[in-house]
Amino acid sequence: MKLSVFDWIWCIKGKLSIEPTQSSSEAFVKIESLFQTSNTNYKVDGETLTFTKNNPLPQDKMSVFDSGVLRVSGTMLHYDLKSRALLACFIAPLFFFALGHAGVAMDQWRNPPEVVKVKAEAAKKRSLIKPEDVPMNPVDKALGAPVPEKKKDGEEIGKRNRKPSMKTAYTYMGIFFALWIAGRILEHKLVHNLFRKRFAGNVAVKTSRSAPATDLNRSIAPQTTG
Amino acid sequence: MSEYAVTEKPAYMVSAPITRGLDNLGRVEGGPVKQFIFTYFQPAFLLLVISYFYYAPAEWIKPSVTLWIGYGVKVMMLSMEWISPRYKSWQHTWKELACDTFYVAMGAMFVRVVFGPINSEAIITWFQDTFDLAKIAWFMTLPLLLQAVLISFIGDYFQYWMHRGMHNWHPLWLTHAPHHYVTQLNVQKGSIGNPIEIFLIGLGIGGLFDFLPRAALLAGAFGMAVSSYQHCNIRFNTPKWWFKIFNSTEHHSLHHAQDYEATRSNYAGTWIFIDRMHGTCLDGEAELLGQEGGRRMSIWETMHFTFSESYKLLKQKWAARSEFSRPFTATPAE
Repeated sequence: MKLSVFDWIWCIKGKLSIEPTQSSSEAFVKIESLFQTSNTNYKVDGETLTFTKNNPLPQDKMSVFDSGVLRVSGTMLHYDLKSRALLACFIAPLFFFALGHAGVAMDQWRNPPEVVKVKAEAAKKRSLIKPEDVPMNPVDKALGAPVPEKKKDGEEIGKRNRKPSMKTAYTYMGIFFALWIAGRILEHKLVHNLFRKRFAGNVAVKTSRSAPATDLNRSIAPQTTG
Repeated sequence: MSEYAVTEKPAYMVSAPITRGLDNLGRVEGGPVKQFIFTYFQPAFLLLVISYFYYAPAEWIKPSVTLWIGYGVKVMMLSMEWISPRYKSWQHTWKELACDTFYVAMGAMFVRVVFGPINSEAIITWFQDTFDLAKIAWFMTLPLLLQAVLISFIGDYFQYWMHRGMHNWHPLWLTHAPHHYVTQLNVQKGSIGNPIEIFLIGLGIGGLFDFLPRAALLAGAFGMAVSSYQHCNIRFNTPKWWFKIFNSTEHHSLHHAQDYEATRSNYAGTWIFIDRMHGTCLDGEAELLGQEGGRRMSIWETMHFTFSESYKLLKQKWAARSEFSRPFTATPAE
């Protein structure tokens, strides 16, 4: 089976029209600055620009992509970009499904029924003072704080059940699947708009989302406290 | 003529620009409504959260409800990052959000499970079983807010020393270092780190005393309405008095700065007052973050760094020892 059947999971492919008067080298000049950033290697070879990124900074506008090919063909720019982050996000639900089962199994191994029983008995002995038996402080009485109630069956305030469960695993599986869908749509849209704006020529040349401030005047301002 | 031996700084002692003091901090940009909201938000939200946990009936503060309150606050802060970002270079991206969420999930599903038998809850239970803590049950008769402040302060004080230890003792630093390779701050960045570190930094003895459950929740409210801002890309016009008592993004950004000296400050999580007590507080802020001049560490490297670096270090030590103990053999001259 060909990998291209599945590569839509982590590959973003698309095309956009560019000015007919532009040669491939003129076209690449407009977007070259996107690749002149740290941890990025790129090469222009005729009508093709190929790039690779090795752990790019989040400040890199194309940080989600690890490699890609851009090709000018007539009046069209074709792009084929690969993202390990998208692939990892797609696989993450499987990972958390396995991790959830491992957690539940580990908990069952550590806490067989006999141990659970002994622990519950120990916990009963441990709760020496009940909140409802403690006289309320006059300050709290004056401020109108609710009087502590006798523990009812069900949830006890302040005590969250930390027992490993598949419910947590399913929650994160859902979150990562939703993240993958959002990322697959959003990143395609963002990169398409990024290229489009570059070719339209209405964007100042920047290599990152925003150049971090390096204003030395601010750094040598007098320290007032400390 | 006297001679001076010039000692070069080690490579990790990077110097980078930071803003020192409270007088040159950035301000909220925008109209009067936005200015008003982001000037008074922090104290108003703290007051709101404390009032809620102080006055709410028991069914409003049961775990299933507080869990959703926690999620709601996270979502609210993520939205606020878009409305009033501190720095554009820290703006959230889809990839950062996905990576941060991965660490949050690992904390909930791996760290909590693997380290369950030795976490703070287990330690506190051991203390309660071993010592007669009923003798200090008077703690429960104190006013609720005082109990809450004490629980929060004691917990944070323990965390302060653990955190300071991580920056001053190399074996502990190897666990904490991955957390310092973030190049921007966002709400969930606090969860980034090697699982060993996440376990260690989560250890606390705040709950050692017998306390009223509502007081523990109130202590948690301080965490929600103060320490949540540590790793946050929200620009506030924080009041000066807040900086004297509570931790802030400004303080924590210095702790994460590229500048080495700045990282050796502001260790507390909630009460910056603890740093002031011990002379480790540095006021100001930083935009350029991350170790090694702002290198981003991947998830895979974060997971193995503590172990692989420890192994490398031990290997070097063993090699040095065997070199030293090797019998001297004379090399004949040519």
